[in-house]
Amino acid sequence: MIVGRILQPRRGRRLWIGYIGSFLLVLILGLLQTSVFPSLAIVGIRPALVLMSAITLATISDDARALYWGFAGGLLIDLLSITPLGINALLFTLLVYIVGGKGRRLDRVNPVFPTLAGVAATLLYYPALILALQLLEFDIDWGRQVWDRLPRAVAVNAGATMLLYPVVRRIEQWTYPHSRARFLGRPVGDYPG
Amino acid sequence: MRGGQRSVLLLLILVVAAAVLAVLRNTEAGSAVQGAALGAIAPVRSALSSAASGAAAALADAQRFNDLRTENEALRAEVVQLRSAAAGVQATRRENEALRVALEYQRANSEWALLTGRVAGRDSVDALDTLVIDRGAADGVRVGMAVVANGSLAGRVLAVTTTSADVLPIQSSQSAVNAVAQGEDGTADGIVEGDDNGGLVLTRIEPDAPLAIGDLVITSGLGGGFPRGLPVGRVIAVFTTPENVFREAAVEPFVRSERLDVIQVIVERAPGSP
Repeated sequence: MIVGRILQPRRGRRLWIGYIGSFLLVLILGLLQTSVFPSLAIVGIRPALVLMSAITLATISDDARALYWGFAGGLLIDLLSITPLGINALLFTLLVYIVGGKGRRLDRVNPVFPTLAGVAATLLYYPALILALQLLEFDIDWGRQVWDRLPRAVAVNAGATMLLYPVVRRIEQWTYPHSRARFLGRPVGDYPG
Repeated sequence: MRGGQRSVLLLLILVVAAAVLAVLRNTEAGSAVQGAALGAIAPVRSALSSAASGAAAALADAQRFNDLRTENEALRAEVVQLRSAAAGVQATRRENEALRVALEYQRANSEWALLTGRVAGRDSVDALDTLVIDRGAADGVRVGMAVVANGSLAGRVLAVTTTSADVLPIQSSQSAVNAVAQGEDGTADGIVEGDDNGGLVLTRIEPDAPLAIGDLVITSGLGGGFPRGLPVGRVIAVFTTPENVFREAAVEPFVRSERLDVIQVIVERAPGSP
C-alpha cells in the first residue's frame, strides 16, 4: 500500500500522462486504421478503431473527455484519409454525444454495453458518412457501401470494441482514479486505482 | 453552469469547429494544415503500410499454399497415372517386339509348326522352377515338346492340362538336353544341364573333342523330342578335372527363364518337312 502510494504520481502529473497516453492511443489507432488495415481488411472491412475507441470512452467517461477524444480522433482520420477535412470530426463528435452518452447512462463496468454502443455507432456512422460524401458531390454506390458492407462492418467493429474496451478503460481509470464505475446511472463499487 | 449544459456547449463548439474545417477544406490554409499533418507522419505511415502489405502478402501466400497443396496432390495423382500408362506402353512394346521375333522365327523355320503362347505364371514348386503357359492339350501341346523363345531353346513341356502347360526351363537342375557345341575346329557332343544358378553346363564332352570358348551350343536332336539345331547358348568356360574322364563347359544361355514372356511350343513338324 505504502509502495503503491509512493509510486503513484500526483494528480496533475497523472492527468498529463493520461492525456499523452490517450493522444498516443488515438494516434496509433488512427495509423493502424489508415495504414495497416487497408492491406489487412477483415472480411473486406477496415475496422473503425478510432471511432470505436471514442465510443468506448464515451460509455465509461464523462461527456467532455469523450467529446474531445471523438473530435480529435475524427480530425485525425480526416487528415489521414481522403475524406474532406471536418467530416469525420463532425460525425465522431455527434456520435460520441448521442450514442456514447446514452450508453454511459446504462452501464460503465460491463464491456457488453460499449460493444452495443459500438454497434449502434456503426449503424449510424456508415450511412451518415455516405450521405455526407454524396452531399459533397462524391459518387458513392449507396447500395454497395451500405447494404453490402454495413452488416460486416457492424460485426467487425463490435469485435474491435470488445478488444479496445480494456485498453481504453485502463487509461481512463489511471488518468481519473476517482471516477467511480456506474450501473444504470448509479455509482457502484469502490473507487478504482 | 451544470454538467449537462456544459456538455451541450462543448458539443456546439466542436460541431462549429468541424463545420469551419469543412468549409476551409478547399482553401489554401486547409490544404497546408492537411499537408503538414500528412508530412509529419508520412515516414511512420509508409513503414506501417509496407509492413501491412508484407503481412497481407504473407497471408495471401498462406492461403495460396492450400491451393498449391491441392494442386500438387492432383498433379501427383496424374503423374502416377501417366507413369502407369507409360509402363503399360512399355510392356506392350516389349510384348510386340517378342511377338515380332516369334513371328520371324516361325517364318524362318517353316519346317516346324509353332504354337505361340504366353507365360501365365510360375509354379509354386521352387525345386523345379517351372513356368505355366497359357496353352494346353486343347491347343495340341503334349508332354516333352520343345519350347523356344526369341528363336532359342527355353525348355520343354513337363505336364499338360486342357488349357495350360508346365514348362521346365533348361536352366532347371532337373533339365537335361542333348546338345552339340559347334566351333571352327569341329563339333563336340554333350548334355546341357542346369546349374541351379541360372546358367548351363555342357557335360559328358569327350576329352579329345574340339571345344573352345565362344562355341555355339545347339540341340543335337538325339533322343527324340527336340529337333536338331535349336540354339541353346554359347560356351564361356571349359573345365578339365583329373578325376573326370569327360570335360565340362559353362554355357551362357540365350534365353533367361526369369525374363520369359512370349514363348513358342514346337507342336509338330510341318507337313512336307523332313
